[in-house]
Amino acid sequence: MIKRSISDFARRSALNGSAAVAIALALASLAVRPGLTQDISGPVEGTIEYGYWGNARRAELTEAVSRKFEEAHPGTEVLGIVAEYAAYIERLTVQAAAGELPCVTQTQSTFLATYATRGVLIPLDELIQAGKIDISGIPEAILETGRINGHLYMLPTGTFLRLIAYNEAMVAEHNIPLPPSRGDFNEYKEWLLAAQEKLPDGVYAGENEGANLFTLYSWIAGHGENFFKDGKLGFDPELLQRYFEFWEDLRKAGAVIPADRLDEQFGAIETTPLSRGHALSATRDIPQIIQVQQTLANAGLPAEIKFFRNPVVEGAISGNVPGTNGLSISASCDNIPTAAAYLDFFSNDPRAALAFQSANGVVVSKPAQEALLSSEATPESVRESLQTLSEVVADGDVATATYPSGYQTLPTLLRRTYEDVALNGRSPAEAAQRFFDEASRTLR
Amino acid sequence: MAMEQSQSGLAAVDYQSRGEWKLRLRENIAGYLFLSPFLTGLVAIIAGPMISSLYLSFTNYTAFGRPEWIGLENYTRAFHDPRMWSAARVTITYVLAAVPSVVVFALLLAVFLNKGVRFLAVYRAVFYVPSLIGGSVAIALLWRQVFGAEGLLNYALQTIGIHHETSWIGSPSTSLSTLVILQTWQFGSAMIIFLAGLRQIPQSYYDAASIDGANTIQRFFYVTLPMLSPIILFNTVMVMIGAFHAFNAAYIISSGSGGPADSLLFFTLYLYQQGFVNFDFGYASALGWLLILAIATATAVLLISTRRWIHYGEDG
Repeated sequence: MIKRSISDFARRSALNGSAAVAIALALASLAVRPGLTQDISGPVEGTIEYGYWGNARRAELTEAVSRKFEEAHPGTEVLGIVAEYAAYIERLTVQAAAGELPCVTQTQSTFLATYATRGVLIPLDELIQAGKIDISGIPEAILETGRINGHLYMLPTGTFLRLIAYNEAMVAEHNIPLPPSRGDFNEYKEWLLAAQEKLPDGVYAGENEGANLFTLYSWIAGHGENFFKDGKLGFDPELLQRYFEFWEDLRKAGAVIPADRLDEQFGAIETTPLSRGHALSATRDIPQIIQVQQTLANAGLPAEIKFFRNPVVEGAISGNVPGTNGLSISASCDNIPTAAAYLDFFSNDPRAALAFQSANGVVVSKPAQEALLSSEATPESVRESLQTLSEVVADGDVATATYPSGYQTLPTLLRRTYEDVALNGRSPAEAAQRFFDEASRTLR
Repeated sequence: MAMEQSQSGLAAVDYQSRGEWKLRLRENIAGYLFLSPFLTGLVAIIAGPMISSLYLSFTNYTAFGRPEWIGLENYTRAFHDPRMWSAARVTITYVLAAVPSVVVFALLLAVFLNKGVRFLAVYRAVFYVPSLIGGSVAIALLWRQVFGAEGLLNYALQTIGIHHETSWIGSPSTSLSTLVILQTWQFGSAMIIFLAGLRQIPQSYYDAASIDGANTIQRFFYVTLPMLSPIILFNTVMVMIGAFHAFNAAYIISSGSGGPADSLLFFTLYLYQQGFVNFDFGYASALGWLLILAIATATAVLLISTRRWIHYGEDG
């Protein structure tokens, strides 16, 4: 009886254990990417999926572009899959791991390398050489943001060039001198301090940019240094230390948002201090001006937002750092000809430009820009954005920006590091070194 | 001969048990079929991913490519990771503050409502609503407005002459307290369970205590609490497990950073950062299993302690 019980138990245990191992291995095998096939020839037909992020308005505009594409290419169908940004990124990772990315996948220069270097996106070079995608209308500096290791993995469609936005109506109201456009960092600091003296209580000359990674990027580029080199940080910790000291000086002088209110700067655009009239200036992407102005106007506050260019030291090319949104083709796409046609249509066709209204970054291709500028239906805010971008690009005042794999870990790392300085009193030198130590582990 | 008889006897018993087993299996098939939807869910949604994450915790899986076996490296890394310890400290502080707050507040309110107040059903519903919505994104966003520098709390303090200009949410010294308050606000479901338990206590016990000269407070400590102790245990365990799992509010209020200055870096949030920001799913899986072990240990300690304070009635 005991012998039978032991043998039964052993058999059941062995079966259960084998089943558990089998299940684990089966699930782990989902991590394996399927084999890749590439075929760039063939007719433009059939169905493709297009995954993108956005709110309801952007989804509506994107679907309008897809319908225009279907009209232009009878026999095609584009199935849009939309999600809010944070959820989109999470889903992107899971889909990439399972080899189930949509044929056309919206990507961004800040996280492109993470996916491109792992073979889940196809390089577009062959398609460009074969004439399937036209990139002739895209400035080289913008195009570069879509390149990883010399290959183009993302076709940039909209840029979020980061400048310094300020409320010109408040400047006029309080007799504040105009800010220095493309001055040096001392001039920028002096302007903030001088502006603060004329502003009422509760209003600050600027948002506290100490925890903002894009502003740090502008600082590094404005000092003539490379943020990244060979996939690692390309500047000295001492430059980061000086960055922390710069914003700490302004914080202690009361010229920027206090450290305990930093969280207000990381919410929706409409709830940030600039949009609520609590700050005179802040770094913003060109397209965000519309939301800021609308929020201020709805609250009955002075609402005229202008831009000035980021400061630079002598000899530096530019402190204006571009980031881009764009379209990529997944390695698991089974309809590459149609996907390529969609990318080309979205980027270059005037019908697409007019339907999308530059809703995700300022459109970067010349044909799209010309279509928008020549249309009477284009809103004034879009025209202004296009004009601002065109002027900056025409002046060559755009820094070269690369974003290696692991970049997505740096915004939180910088915020935490700066909070340690501003809220816990850690020395900027120590904080800068800690930033470098952690970044070296996460950039890969 | 005896041995042969013994062996053939064993063989006959063996054949008989196999037949019984087959008969039992046939009889139970209907039961298994009814259980199959639940079992499928258990395997596919719970057990399967758990086994998978256990396996991945011993690998360097980054969501791309094949996981490579690295043994206990993720676990040793965790024990040498200062941020892991920081997240553990924040979580344990939160558990030690939030759990007693919820349980005590729920108990006191249940005792009060059990005294036969008017509109009890209305109070019950009103107090239960926060339990339903408290964990939502909307409430977390609202909490930022209440405890912000220009939030409702500072405004209310100003009306009574207290000028507090800093943000409760934005200061490392007070941010965790705001989440403890949020958790305490969700006392409703624990209160409902306490109310039900209070109704089970025989009135004769209170009458006997009164006859013996016990006042209100003595009746509470010597009748109510001992009789309610199993339910106190249940609520404490449930609230504690929920507190260990807290994620939504910390994620929303800190915009996923765990700030200000890691003061809201809950263990679950750190685990999420490792998996979905750093793409280090192997390490995130290991952290997940450490969390399970921590919860199991805390629950075991609580259950072991019940020998000293749980009263299961006259038969217990």
